[in-house]
Amino acid sequence: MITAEIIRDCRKGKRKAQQRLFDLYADQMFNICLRYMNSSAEAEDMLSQGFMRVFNAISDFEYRDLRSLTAWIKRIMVNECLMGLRKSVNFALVSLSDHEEISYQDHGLERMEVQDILSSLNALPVGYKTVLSLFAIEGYSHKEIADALQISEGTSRSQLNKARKLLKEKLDHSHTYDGRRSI
Amino acid sequence: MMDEEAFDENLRMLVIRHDQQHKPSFNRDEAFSRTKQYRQGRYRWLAGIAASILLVGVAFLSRNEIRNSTPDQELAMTDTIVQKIGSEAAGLKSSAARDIQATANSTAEAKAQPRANQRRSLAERVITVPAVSAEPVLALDDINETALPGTAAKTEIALPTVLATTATPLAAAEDMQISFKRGRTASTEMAVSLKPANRRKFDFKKMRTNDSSSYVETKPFKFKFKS
Repeated sequence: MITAEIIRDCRKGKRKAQQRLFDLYADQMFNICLRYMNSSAEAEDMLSQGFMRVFNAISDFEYRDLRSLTAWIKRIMVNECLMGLRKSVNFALVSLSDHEEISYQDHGLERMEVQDILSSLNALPVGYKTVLSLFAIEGYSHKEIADALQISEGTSRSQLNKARKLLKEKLDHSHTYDGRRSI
Repeated sequence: MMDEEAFDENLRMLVIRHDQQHKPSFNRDEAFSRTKQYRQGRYRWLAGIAASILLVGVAFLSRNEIRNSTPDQELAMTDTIVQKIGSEAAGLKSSAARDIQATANSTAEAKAQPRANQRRSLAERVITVPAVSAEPVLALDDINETALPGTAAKTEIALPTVLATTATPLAAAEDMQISFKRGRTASTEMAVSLKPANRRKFDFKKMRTNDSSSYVETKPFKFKFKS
């Protein structure tokens, strides 16, 4: 477990303490990076850069409990991924069509395989996937998304609606095709 | 709207549970070692920048030192040559040696003055030239005959004529007053009053080596010989 002593040693730059912190959070943070990046190699790069940033900035972090530490590291990882994505993706180049009303009744996500949902999520275009992950999973507001991706709030809303619609279509299609069930 | 929120909430719970439970396969050791490499790389950059700043500073300072020391070296070399000539010439007890000794004494006076004023007189330069080319000291007699005609009676040298007149040059008048009447440019009156100007008296003690009047009004120098 992470203790205040490990945090203190990490502040001093002790490599063993950094290794323990890395081992504790590496899997969880790699999954987050993998959700935003296109490949596992890119996710691995983001993980290394993110932990490097964590080790450099941990002296400024005020440790209260494990939950706050987890949220802080997670935030750093997401920001690192967004910085990496901004180099290759222009999030502003998305059409602003009116959002269509889609019925989400009985979507049945809880009865679906997690891997299927994640596969469908990864199959979305980068802009949709990023906005949906930030809004629905990380809990960002539209203003925060707009600041992070350097787009307008309207673009963020539009992409979120399109992402939901497309994800639902993909999930419907995959489950209908597999013959398991339709949501 | 509620359905959308429920959809997002379900999605969030599923993904977070998956992130916590699923163990991904990736190279942990390499990923962790790269965090160290990044840190080392950063410090290497900082060390390189610091070293380059230090080198530039040292180069700048050393260049200034070289530039400042060059005139001092030349000055010291000239003084050494003149003193050497003076000491050799003192042994000869000739007229040329006296002149050289006088030059050496004037050099000592010039050293006491500020550095900007340490320019050598023409006579001194004439004397130092044969010494640099390592010619015998006796050859200086010929040079001094032309440079200082009072020391040798062998040849006659026509000195430049100096006009001695009491008339005050117009350009030297300091109290020139010119007045114009206002509004009457056609019949401008001009009153010029000429007063005898304060002619600058020659002071041997305040003589500067680049003062041309020193060649005209140099007083004979009295030598003191050791008994």
